[in-house]
Amino acid sequence: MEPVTIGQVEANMTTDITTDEELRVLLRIIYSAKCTEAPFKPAEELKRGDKVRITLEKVSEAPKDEKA
Amino acid sequence: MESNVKLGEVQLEMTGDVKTTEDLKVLLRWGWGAETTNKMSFKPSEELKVGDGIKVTIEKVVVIPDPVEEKVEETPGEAVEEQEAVAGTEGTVESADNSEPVTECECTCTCEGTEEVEKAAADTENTAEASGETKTA
Repeated sequence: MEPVTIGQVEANMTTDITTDEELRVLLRIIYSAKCTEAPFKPAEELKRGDKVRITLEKVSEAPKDEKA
Repeated sequence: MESNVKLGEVQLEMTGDVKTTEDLKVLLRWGWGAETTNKMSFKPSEELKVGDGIKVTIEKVVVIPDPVEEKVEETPGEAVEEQEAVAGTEGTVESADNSEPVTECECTCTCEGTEEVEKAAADTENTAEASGETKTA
């Protein structure tokens, strides 16, 4: 399937992150996690106050049950 | 002007359903779970189901200041001096251009101009002759 943009958010960093540190992405509804954490190492250093933009796209759909 | 630097991209699989009416929070965590950004949440444009594959792209937004605005922001004294210097140079160029005769220019406008001048001179002569004829007649 073609990727569908689900949403885009922007925020400012509240701490410094170096390129050798690992960040993890998590999606939550209130306190309930809706995915497993996905780690990555940023390609560039981040400083407190830097603006980051996160884009979410749906790239695949869950296989449908073929009971019927 | 903005420039985006791609920091990373991850793919993950949904472990729970999300409706379009729910606020989906995005967390960037570090170490034991410390959040590294202020709150980010949005309402998804489509419903998400368990097993859906999601691609998350993380970018750094770099604001590039406009060079024109940057000059204005400089100390007013310096900016005025720079403008005066530029104006002075322009004036010199203009005066140099003006000092040269127009006929030496090689562009088409000069030729047209020369022709026009010649035509005007011819017209004046014709008029003078005509008036002379009228007088004699």
